[in-house]
Amino acid sequence: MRIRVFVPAVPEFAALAEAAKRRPACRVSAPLPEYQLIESSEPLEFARKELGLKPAVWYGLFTGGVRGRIEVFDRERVRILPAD
Amino acid sequence: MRLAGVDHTARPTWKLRQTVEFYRDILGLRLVHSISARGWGPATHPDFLHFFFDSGKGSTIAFFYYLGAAVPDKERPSMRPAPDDHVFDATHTAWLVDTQEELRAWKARLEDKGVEVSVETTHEVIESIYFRDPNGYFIEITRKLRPLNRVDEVDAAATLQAAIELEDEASQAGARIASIDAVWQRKARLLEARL
Repeated sequence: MRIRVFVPAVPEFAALAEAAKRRPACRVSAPLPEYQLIESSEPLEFARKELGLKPAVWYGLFTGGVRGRIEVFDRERVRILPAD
Repeated sequence: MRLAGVDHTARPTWKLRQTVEFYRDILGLRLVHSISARGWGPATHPDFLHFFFDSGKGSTIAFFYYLGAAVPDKERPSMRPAPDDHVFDATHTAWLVDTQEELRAWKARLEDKGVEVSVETTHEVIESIYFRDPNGYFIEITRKLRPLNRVDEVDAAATLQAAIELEDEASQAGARIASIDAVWQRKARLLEARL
């Protein structure tokens, strides 16, 4: 099962979709008017610094919805594994 | 039908002088109205003062001071301006300013007058500072980073649908959900159904 991350199409989460576009394993599309969709068949990892997010936004990073298991989610790093 | 904004919000105070001095003299809000009355309605209602400070665009922040009423045990004002008591602090007022310069000017003004103010906190659509009044009430001053739009509304509906579904399912088993991950997973499923 692939990882899927729905990213609301708002400025504060744009950096997440942009960072995913730089990951060769990721496919980023816009299948719904209100969301971008990140898909990956490999584990996904992001650093808060790379995304340039303040903590209050970072801790809501997956508010758009996520399919996958969040293995690590601390103040600086998040790692998602494909769902079992 | 739609509402036209806030007229007033109100809360009790047991610190009459300190409350007036804080809102009128430290924050500089005009004291624009006061009611002083015999207690009425329920027989147990004490005599009271009900007074209002101007908070912009016709809105006020209001207080009730109940004469002779028992003072609650728990003192709060010595707490730092962080939501350490998240349940109590969830009920709070956030005032709007128009610019980052104004937000910083409020922080500087309050600190000059000895009020502890939080660092500026960037949320998704607002940036805020926080402080406490003499009663310990959590006060926020904020500026909008962008207007809310249709994406926010669609997204909010999906988030709440996911959370309500999960809580309803959990409550049938006598439980409650305790991790936001479950909401995110359910929300992804709801959105996948729209693909």
